[in-house]
Amino acid sequence: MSTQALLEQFISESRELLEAAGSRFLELESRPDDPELVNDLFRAMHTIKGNSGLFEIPALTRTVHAAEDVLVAVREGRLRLGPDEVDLLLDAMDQVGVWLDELERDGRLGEGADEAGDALAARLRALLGGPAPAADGEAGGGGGRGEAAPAAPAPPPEWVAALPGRARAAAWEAAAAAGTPCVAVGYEPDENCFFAGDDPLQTVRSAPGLAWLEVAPREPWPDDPGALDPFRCVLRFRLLCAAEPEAVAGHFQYAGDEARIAAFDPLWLAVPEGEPQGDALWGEVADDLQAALDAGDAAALRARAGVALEAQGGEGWEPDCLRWIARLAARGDGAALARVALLVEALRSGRLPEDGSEADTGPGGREPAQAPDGAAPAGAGPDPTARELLAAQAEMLRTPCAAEVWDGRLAAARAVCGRLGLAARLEPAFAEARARRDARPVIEAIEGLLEGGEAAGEAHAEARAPAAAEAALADAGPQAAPAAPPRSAAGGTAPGAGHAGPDGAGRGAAPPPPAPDRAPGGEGGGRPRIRTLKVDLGRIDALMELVGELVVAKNALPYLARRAEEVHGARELAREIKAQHAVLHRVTESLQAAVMQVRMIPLSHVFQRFPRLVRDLSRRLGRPIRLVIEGEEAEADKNVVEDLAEPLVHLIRNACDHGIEPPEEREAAGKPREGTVRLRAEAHDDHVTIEVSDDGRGMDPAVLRRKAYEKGIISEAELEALDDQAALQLVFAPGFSTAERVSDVSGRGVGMDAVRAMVRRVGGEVRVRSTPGAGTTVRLVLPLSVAVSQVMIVEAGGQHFGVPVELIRETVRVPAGEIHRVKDREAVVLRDRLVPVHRLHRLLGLEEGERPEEEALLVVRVDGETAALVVDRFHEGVDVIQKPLEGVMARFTIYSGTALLGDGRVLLILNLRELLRCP
Amino acid sequence: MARVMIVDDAVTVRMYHRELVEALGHQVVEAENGIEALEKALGADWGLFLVDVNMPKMDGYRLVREMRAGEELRAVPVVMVSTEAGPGDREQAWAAGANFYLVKPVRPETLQAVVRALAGEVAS
Amino acid sequence: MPVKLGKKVATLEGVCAVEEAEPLLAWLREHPRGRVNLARLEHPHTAVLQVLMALGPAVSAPPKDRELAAWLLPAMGAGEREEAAAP
Repeated sequence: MSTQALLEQFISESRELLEAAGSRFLELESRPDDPELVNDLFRAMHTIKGNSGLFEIPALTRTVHAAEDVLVAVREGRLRLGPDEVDLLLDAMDQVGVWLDELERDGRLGEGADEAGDALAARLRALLGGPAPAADGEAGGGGGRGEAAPAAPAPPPEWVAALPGRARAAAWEAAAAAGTPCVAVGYEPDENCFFAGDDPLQTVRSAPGLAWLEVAPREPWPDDPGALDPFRCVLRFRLLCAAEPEAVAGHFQYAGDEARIAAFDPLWLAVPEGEPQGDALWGEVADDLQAALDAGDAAALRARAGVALEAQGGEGWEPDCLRWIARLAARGDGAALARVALLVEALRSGRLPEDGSEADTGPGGREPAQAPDGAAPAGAGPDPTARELLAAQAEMLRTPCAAEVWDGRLAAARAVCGRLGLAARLEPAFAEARARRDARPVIEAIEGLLEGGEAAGEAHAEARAPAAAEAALADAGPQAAPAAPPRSAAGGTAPGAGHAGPDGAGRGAAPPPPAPDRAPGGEGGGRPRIRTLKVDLGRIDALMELVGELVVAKNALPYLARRAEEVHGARELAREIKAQHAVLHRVTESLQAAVMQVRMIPLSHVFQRFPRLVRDLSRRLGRPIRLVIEGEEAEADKNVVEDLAEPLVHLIRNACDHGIEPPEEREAAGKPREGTVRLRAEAHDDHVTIEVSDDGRGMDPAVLRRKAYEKGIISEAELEALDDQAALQLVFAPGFSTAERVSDVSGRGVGMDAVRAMVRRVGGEVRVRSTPGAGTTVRLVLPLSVAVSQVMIVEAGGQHFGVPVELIRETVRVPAGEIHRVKDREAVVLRDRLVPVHRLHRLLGLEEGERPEEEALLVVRVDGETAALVVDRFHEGVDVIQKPLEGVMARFTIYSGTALLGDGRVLLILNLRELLRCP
Repeated sequence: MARVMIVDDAVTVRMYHRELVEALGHQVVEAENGIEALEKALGADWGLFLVDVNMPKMDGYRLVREMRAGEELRAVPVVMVSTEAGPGDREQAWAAGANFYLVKPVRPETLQAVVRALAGEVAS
Repeated sequence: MPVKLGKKVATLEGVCAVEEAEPLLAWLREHPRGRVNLARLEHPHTAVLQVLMALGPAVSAPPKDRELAAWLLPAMGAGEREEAAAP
């Protein structure tokens, strides 16, 4: 099997479940008692957890498992979820999403996943109240360990043990004094955090219970100090705090996943350091300590360690062992003494025993090696499976059941025994059982077989796997207790579930192949047909690209036809080529539409993240805000939908932050306390509109005008001339921001001009409407697809340019005399309307030839205004794949992009909006 | 060749199990839940059912009970494949009439050994 | 101004804000042998901290705040570089 395919399947299925879960969690907040909702969520977590077990990603498994347990508690009524709890669950979902991304990109979880997973799991389990049963056997580590094993605290990140002794000692003392666990924090602030007004060092230094701090650069400092950018944060902080994990997590709440928080038992700090002196004397001290330890006398232990330290003193490995022993003895609980045992050993041997149990039993734990319930290790016989299956039939029949399944169960047991090749031997017992309606004869017969009592003599091979069963029975050793539960497969110790290894053992390792690569078996003739296919987006993109090339190739045909006619004088051939072109054109168009259809995805892909966003903003701003989403089922090309996310996030932030007023202000204005932000999509034939509106304070055109004037965005003349609607559009002007202050919420750099740029990049347009006191609506008009656009080729000054056909109203020829001069401008009357005339030559600074008697006018409509462009000649319309301008060319905003033509020429596409704005 | 029904609401698990079972030369039919399994099972001979416990609409226990209480599928061997490993979970499986119980994630060898024992292997 | 840029010594006092990072960087580049007096430093902004760490100037007086000194000096590599910078 392809492990990769399985991993991809896992990632895609988990993403779907996560997405659904995200919105369901939000619903849960308003309907915490809806059992259906809780059940759905439980099942989503359960499925992800189950699937994740196929790969070695314990951090993810653990996190999802903890979330699942929380939901079980909710389902059973032991826990109610408030906003904080839902926050935490959403955080966990976010983290799982990040891990899935990492898994997809690198094939494994990123660094620090284990700590993050432990921290999240611990926080989630903290909701359940009880002690955290960390690191139970969920990754397949050890089946029945869950209840029997002492709760093993999760180990801290590896860097903790590598810290200098004084650091660990300081943290130990602080935790002992405060009576808290230790919390390790690795914090890598975002590079641009200074621009958001953050001072990570401030955050770090004010962390609760800070006991140790280390700062280091994430990358080497440049050799040339001139190359240093002091405003790009490249530091990494490592902290040890003696505090409750929740307090630390709360402190770093806004750091998100930049901070990796892991709570751990301070026992893990007890790692001696220094050079061993190796003096024989230390052996005696160790014996002395061992005696106290064996007696369980913590006080004596501490005293003896103290005395030895005073007597021998000094630096190095052994004194450090003694110091830790003294500290641990002072704490004196079972786990501490278990750790002391390790340190006494370390004192003797000069190294800390790494007995492998450390990874999964915690610092002090020495667990019984395996099989806590004493079951025999399976796998002794040549085919233990047959034995186990047989034993399972007895086990099943022994379990009480409902009357209506009794017959069926017996029949199924008989069928299984038959498959194992034991039908003849067990048939009398089955007959008797059926007759007496009592399964005991069968159970006894099976037990007899398992003990080997009846195995002699009458071996009749009769079914498919007789040899296996016979061999297995013949091999029945004394340790195969009668009716032992089929542990090896069913119990999960070995070999059935043990492959994932102990928790944490696979840290950082790529998921191992869960199964050997194998060619799929023969195609069954009667397999049901698959109706839906999930196709990787990359393949669709490749298909789209090919369609694009086909369009270009198709566009070459008219040139070919013209050459055939003009150069070779082959009119007949030219006609045939044109006919072929028409056919090809039709087919390409259909093909294009079909591929386009595949690429269409509903806007809900983007919309579904907004309830969470609004909820977070609402909480952060302290304003109740309701988000209403309409029309999320409208579809658009995936590129459009994806590019939409960022501008929409910004618009919604704006609406919440600048639009919706604080509740008191709203009440004073006679509005409901709760503000409403509305996100509405509507699909049209060739475009989709999206509106983000709020019922907040609105914008005042007069204020906008004045500000724009102060900022030099408009001239004094414009200040007078701009009507209210036009004034509102000033918010999109570069350098304009209505906010008085840079706020935490929407002050992160993106302005409305960036929103407009992003929308325009996909060929859309954005307008704003607003009524002071009543609210603001931003309306986005977007094309359904950005992939292929139709342009008309026009000629001016001997050059060819493309004009997007959606802007073209008509092409007309008018006598030169009908173009009137009005002052220094030209205009023409078309359909009883005066339309301004621009000459493309002049706009582009091209040479103007002699004016013909008839002018060719391209009538366009841009931003609601009609204008006529004088060109030399119209050419054909073509389908093109537009590419944005690159490099220095990108500065020429009068072009929106380039396109490759069928004859290999590059066509510049005019950006009429820009072109007509600067006459 | 036998026909094997794989019932699990997780696509990933179905894919994993399917590959393993098909590699033994069997024909696989997948179902997302108990109801779908019962519908798809009608009118065919079945070598084995691999059944997940926790599924929407109709869970694994219920599916096995329906199979055992009905006529057509009462004797078809069922292996429960569950994430739960507690004794109570296993007991419920036995009470419903499951013939075997495996804990997820199942090692490929283990699953194939069980399938081989109950449904054989097509020589390749 | 919490950062006083002298001829040989830059003195950082109190809370040094993000705007101090650039002038401090410029001064340290112009004065490769310049020293920093941190005695009365209470809190450097992370950006200022980065400059101190990256250029690792010799320290003429360590912070009186022991907690600050405990991690700041090692981060600046004060020990080894001080020797290197000594005449």
